[in-house]
Amino acid sequence: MKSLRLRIMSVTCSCLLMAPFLSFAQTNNKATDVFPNNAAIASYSNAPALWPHDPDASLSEAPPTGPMQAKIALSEVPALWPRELAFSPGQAQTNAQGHAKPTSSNAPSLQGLGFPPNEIQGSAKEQALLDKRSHMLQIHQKLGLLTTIPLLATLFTGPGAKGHHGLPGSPTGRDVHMGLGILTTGMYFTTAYFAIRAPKIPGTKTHGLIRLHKALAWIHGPGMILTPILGAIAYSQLSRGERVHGIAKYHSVAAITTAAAYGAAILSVTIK
Amino acid sequence: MNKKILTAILLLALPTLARADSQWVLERSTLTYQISHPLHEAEGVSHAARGKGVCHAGQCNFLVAAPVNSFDSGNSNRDLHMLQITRGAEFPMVIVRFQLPQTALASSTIHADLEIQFAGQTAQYKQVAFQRVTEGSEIRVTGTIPMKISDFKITPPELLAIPIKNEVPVRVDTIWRPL
Repeated sequence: MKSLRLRIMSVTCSCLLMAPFLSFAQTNNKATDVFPNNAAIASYSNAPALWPHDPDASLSEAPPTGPMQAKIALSEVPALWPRELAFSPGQAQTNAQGHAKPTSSNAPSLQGLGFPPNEIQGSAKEQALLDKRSHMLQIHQKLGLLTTIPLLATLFTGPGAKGHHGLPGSPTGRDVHMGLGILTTGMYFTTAYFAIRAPKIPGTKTHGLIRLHKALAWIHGPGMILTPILGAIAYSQLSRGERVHGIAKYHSVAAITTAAAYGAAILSVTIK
Repeated sequence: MNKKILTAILLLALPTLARADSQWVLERSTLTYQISHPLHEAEGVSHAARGKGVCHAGQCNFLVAAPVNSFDSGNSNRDLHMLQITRGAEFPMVIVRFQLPQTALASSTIHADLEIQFAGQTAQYKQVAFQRVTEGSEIRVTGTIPMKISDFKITPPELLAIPIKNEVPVRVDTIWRPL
């Protein structure tokens, strides 16, 4: 009887000693699928055995239950807890670049290089913002180049509208010049719209020749408002058979200044 | 008898000791990409790379990574456009991995097979030559990676409807120190 009791006790003790090891045997590999490079990471299914289920409970309350616990870096705990938040498929996709690539056990990992986690995690939302910005600026670039065609044509037809040697130009010349001017102005402001409305990227400091490109807009922008107004005044004066006088005299000066600033703005982003 | 056994054990242990585990860390670096366009050329520079090398059993695994947005070409507009076409917000790191025999670290010229992850793609560059110079306790490794934007399925950016050249060589200047 005594020996039977001893046997039962020894079997019970053996079972109790085996319990922690059996709990490790239930490991599933979710965590290692996501972070195979990180040798220090623990398999997630061990978590209930190691940590209390209450997310508010501090890690220090978790009783040391086995050798696996030593492998868990403290900094990784928030990433693993709670289970529902930690391993969403979306996160696995976001980390797709290089993070989930299996390598040999002694290979250094990206996480081990010490980059801040937000720096190595991709953002589809930010990429979409960049895509939209680039798309709008490409339209700005193409429209801006196309605008140079009616702009140059307007400049070349200017003398025909104004006339020579004190004589007024022909009504046709004025109409052509005015039509081209309206087309230029319309295209110019459409071009400007795509630059002004392109999304701004937070935290970006403007530097380089793009600053000159933007600064020149403070010349050709107002110029592109002033020139058509002065042109309209000059047009009505000439249509009444008067010589161009008053503020309208500065129409051609404003036009040339605007065109020069516009040309410089194009060159500033074209030639280094 | 005991002395002989001890000597034999020591002799057997020597190669193992010679190939003892070691680690290298990237102390500082300058990575420079160069783009060419008929109208102009531009360079983008990053000093933000971090790297590590782990040597074990005579084989060393190296990893170098740099944030894509850390490259500065001197024009914020170009940098943002580069970030967009390389999908730098979605894949924010350029990652280089390579393996070397530990003995290769002592050579003045190192030939490495590089695996580069960039813009969501992975490309291999075989036998890229690097020059190695010892500077005190540190080693300086320099070279040029002959990167091509088509290897990473990047649509070449255009200026005035002319695309940049496909070849975008990346100059590497790194200082490594043993841990």
